[in-house]
Amino acid sequence: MATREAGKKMIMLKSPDGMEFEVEEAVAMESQTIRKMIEDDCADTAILIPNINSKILSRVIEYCNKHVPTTGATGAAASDTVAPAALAEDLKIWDAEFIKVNRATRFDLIQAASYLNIKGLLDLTSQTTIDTISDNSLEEIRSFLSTKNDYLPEEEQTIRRENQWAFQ
Amino acid sequence: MSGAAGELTAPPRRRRSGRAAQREETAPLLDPAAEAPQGRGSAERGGLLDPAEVPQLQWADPISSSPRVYGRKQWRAVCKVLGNDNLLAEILVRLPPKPSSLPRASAVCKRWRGILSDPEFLKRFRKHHRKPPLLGFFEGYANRFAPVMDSPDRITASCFSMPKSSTRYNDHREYMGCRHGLAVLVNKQERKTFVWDPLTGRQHSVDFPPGLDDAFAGNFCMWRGAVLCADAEDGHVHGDCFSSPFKLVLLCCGGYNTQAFCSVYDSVSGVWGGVFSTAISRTISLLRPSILVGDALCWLISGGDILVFDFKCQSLDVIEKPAFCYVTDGCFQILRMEGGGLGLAVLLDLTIQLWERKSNSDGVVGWVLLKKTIPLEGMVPRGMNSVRFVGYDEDTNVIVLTSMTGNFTLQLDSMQIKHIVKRNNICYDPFYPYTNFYTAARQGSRSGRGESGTNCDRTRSANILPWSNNLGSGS
Repeated sequence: MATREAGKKMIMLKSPDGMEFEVEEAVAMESQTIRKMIEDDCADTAILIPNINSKILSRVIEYCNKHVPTTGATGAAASDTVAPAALAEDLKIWDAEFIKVNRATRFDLIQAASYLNIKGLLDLTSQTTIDTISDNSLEEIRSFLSTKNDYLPEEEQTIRRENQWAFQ
Repeated sequence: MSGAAGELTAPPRRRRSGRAAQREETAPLLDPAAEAPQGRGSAERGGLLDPAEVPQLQWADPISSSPRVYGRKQWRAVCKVLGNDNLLAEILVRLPPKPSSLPRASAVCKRWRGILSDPEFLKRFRKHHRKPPLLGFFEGYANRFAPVMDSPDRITASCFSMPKSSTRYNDHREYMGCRHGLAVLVNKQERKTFVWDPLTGRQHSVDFPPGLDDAFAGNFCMWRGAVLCADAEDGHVHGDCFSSPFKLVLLCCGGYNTQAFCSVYDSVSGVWGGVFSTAISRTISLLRPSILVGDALCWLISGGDILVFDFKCQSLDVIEKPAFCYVTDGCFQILRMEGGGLGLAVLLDLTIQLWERKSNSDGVVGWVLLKKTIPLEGMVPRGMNSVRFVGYDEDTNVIVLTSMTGNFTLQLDSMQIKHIVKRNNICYDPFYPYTNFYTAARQGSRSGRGESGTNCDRTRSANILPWSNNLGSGS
C-alpha cells in the first residue's frame, strides 16, 4: 500500500513467497519496470513482483537503495559535501562487495535485474559473469556455465581452423 | 559417472581475475533461500546440460584445488538465465572487445555461435563497447600489417581480405590510410579511388571528380585521399561502416605545388561537390595521411605547415607551423588533442615538444607550447639518434616512431612505449593505424562462405606470401 512516511512516498513490493517490502518510491523507481507501473497509475496497492523470491528481492532493494540518486531520496546535502568522483568511487567499492555472492545468487540477480529493468544491476552482474570466465579455457567456460559442447569433433575443428589465430 | 566427471574436470589455471571469482569458492554452494525456478521450459534448450547430468558435474576450482560439485539449485539459476537467448546475449555482449573474444566463444556450443554471429548482436556488441581497439598499422601498403596486440588477439595481414584488383600483378593503387575501419586507395592511372573494407575485402570504386580530373589531366601532380564514415544514426559506433554513408575527400597539388585543390564525394548523393583551392608554399607530405580533428581534415605540408579542410565551414586553408620550428618532415606529427583541438608534436633531438592551437584572452588563435614534453632518452634503446615519426592514431592518441631497431608505439597519455616491429635498419614507410572491432569479418565469413570466400582467400595468399618476411616482429 502506498503510504507516506516523513514526507517520502512509500511503495509496497511483494515477493511470490509472501514477503512484503516497504520502500521509498524513488528507490523502487530505480527499476524501469516499476517506474512505468507507477507512472501508468497501476501501483495503488502493493506491487507483486513475480519470479523473484524474497531473498533476491531484498538484495535488489539493497542495490537500489544505494544507487538511488543522492539529490532525490537521501537529500541534497550528500551531493553538496561529497565530490561526484568520490561518490562514484565509493559506489564502485560498494558494488564490488555487493556482487561477492555465490553463483546461484548472481544468476538470480541477473534475471531479476533484467525483469525489473535495472540497468546498473544488470551491468554489474553480467560483467562479473564475463570477467569470471573470460580468461578461462573453453572447457572451463562450458563447465562453469553448465553448457554442453554439442559440436561434433570435426565441426569444432573447422571452427577452430577458421580463426586459428584466435586459439593460439 | 566418474569418467564423465574426470573429463569435465578442468586443469588448474594460472590466473583468474576478479574478486567475485574468489568469493565463489567460499560462498555456500546451496542457498537455502533459493527457490525453485518458475518454469524450466526455456532452461532446457540447446547447449545447456540436462538436469540428469548436473549432479555429476565437477569442476576443479582454479584457486582451491578441491573439486566442486554444483547442486541442482545452482544449475537451475544458471539455466534460467543462460537458457534465455536475450539474457545470454546480455551477458555475451560484455565479452572484451578483443578480436579473439567472439571466435573463441563461438566454439563453446552451437547456440552461442548462432547468437554471436547474428548481425543484430554484433551491432549491440559494438554499441556496448563504443571504442574499437587499435589492431595495428598498415605499413605503407595494403598487404603489410604490423599488429600491436598480443596473442591470441594478434591480427596479421593474413587476417584481412585484400582488395580485388583487375590487374593482379601490376596494381598501381596507392594506399592512402584508413579511418572508421575503412581504407582508401588511389589509382592515378585509372583515375579512380577505392574505399576498401579490409575485414571483408568489399570495396567501392569512385571515379576522380571530373572538375579536378580535367584540370590536371596529363600533368604530373600528387593525389591524396581520405575517407570518413558519415553515418548519422543515433548512437552509431564505427566498426562495420562499409554499408554506411561515407565521405571521400580527394586532395591534389597542382601548378608545381603552388596550389592545393580538394573535392568531397558524398556516397548518399553519389556525386562530388565543388572544388576548393588554396595557395600552398610546398607539397603535401607524401608520408602522412590526414588526421581528423573536430570537423576538419588536416594534412601536413612539407616543412611543418598544416592544410585544413573544414567540413562545417566548407573551407580549405593553411595554418602555419609554430615559429622557430625548423626540422624535417619526419619530426612533425599532427595530433588530435584531448579536448578535440588541433595539436602538433615536434621532435627536437630526442625530446617531443607538444603544441596546441588555442585562443588567447583577446580571442586570437595561435600555437601554444605545452608544459608537457616527452623525453625519449631512456625510453628507446641507446644510440638511437635518428628517431622519426611515421604514424599516429587519432582515436587512441598513439604515435609511431621509427628507429634503427625498428618501430615503436608511444601512447601520449600513459607514455607507454612498445616495440612493435624489430629490424636492423631504419624504415620510413608510413604507418596507417587500423582500429576496428573484429566483427565485420565474422559477418563476412558467415554470409560469404561460398565462392567469394574462397576467392578472397586465394587473393589474400597471393598478395601476402611475397611480403611475409617483411612483417617485422612476426615471431
